[in-house]
Amino acid sequence: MRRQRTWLYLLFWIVVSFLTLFPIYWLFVISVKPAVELFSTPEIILSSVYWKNYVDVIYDETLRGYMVNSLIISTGNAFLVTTLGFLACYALSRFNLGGKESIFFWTITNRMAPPAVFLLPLFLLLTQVYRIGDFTLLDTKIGMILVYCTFNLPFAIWTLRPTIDGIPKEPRRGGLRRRGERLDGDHRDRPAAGAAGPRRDADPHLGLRLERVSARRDADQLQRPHADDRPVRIRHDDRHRMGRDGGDLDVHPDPGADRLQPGSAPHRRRPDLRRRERMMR
Amino acid sequence: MQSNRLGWILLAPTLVILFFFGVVPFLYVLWLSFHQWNPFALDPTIVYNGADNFRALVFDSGFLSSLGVTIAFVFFAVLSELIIGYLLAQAFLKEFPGKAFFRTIHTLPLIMAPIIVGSIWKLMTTPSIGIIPSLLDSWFGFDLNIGTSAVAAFTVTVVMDVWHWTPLVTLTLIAALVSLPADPFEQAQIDGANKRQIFWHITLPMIAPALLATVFIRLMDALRTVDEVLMLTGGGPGSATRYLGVHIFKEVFPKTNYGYGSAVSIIVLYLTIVSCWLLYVALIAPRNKKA
Repeated sequence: MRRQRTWLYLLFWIVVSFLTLFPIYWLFVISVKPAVELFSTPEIILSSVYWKNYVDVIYDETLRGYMVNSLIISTGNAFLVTTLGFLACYALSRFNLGGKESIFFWTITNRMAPPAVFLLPLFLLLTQVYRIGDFTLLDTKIGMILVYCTFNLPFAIWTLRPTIDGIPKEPRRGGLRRRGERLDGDHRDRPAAGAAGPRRDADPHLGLRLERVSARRDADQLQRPHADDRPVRIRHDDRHRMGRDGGDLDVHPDPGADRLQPGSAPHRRRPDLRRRERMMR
Repeated sequence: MQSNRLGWILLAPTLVILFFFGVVPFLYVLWLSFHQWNPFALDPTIVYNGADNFRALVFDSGFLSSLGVTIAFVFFAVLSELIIGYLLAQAFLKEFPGKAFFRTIHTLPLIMAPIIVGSIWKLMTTPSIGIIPSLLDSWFGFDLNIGTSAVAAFTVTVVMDVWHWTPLVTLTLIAALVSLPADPFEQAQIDGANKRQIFWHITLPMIAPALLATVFIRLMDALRTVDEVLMLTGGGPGSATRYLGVHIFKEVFPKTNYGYGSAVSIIVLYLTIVSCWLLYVALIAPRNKKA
């Protein structure tokens, strides 16, 4: 049954990939056809391959120049947008700037502008207004990179911000604590009981990260098994229905504890006993 | 708390670039929308004509029909992308061999420039070159001709948009679905909820923020589509696929009617900002405040 399902998914994805790839495949089919054959009846399977188109493209000097232009502009734009977008997101996420939510929304409105009509103002600004002496931004690569920023920077800010919001800030008070653990009296950020949301107390460091714990919390930590753990005898020391530490055995927190025998599992011990033991040593 | 000055310094480069390349051109377009200007006409001076451009716009049947087809295009394209994207994202959550490979293939359309996507689909659907009309004709006897049939041209633009942008929806929804906690689903299953109930009452409300952010970005980009459609159909046949972006392009470049084009742009920008802002304020901002 399970095997069959896997095959079904595989088949489904092969079909979907075929649909995704087919237009790209068709582009390739057209690219290896001589111009004469273009208008013959279309065939899915390639019968002959005509590489001359590719040779022409590779040896075309002008086209190579265009490709270098594209590479420089897109790389430069990607670099600039990522850097500035990161800085802006950091500022929006970590600082309490006045009206920052409005600024955040305003950035994206720059991407909504219909591009066609903004070409003319940009052209006029680049040729006539933004100039220093004889230097204008027109026909320069840096000019193009900056113009592209108008559309790409807002997108970068909108996609980066949730990630930066998700990086935890440093703890508010002194001392290291394990992720998800709260200091006493710190009730902030605690999700309401039953509230849905990603689990916050999962510990990605598996308890390996440094921690400094208060003396008060030390008591809880004592419940962990310890190297010199020995089973505690309860039944056999019991003379007055009282434990060695003076606790009443009838109200033992663990209902199965009175069946403990020497050599039984150490984790069934009472933590308070262990503590007393250590203090007496 | 660090001083706020550092925050403003970090934000400054972004604000400066967006001001000089976003706000200043916008103000120029706004100013131009109250003027009549055709730089290649007999009288190429810029003449102030008040709100005449906007008044003409309300009675311009070309603009109104283009608004109508744009809304239809955005509705069908974004809705299909969401449904298909969600189903594919769900399918990616299952375990099967070669998952990473299929995911890479599925992402390929995203990295293509819109102008290339437009030309690919033109090569596929133009009668006599394209494979799709030829196959449809030989298998079903159906004549697909995007040069003459308005419905066919409209459908092909929607299919093209779906092919190009569904991967974006899938990727965002995979990220949202993976981060969901398992507990509510287990509890619902224990309580005997069926698949439909789990979807409506648990999955959908929990992925709503991510879903809305995706709708937001897709809505914005679909409203300003130009290059793909211009390449594929050129806005035709007639004005069947003359979406607002294409309409503005044709008003500004072939007709060089800058004042009127600016007015249309301002209205489109206004409509986009208002609809996105409503969506943002109602559904996305409360979540940011809580986090």
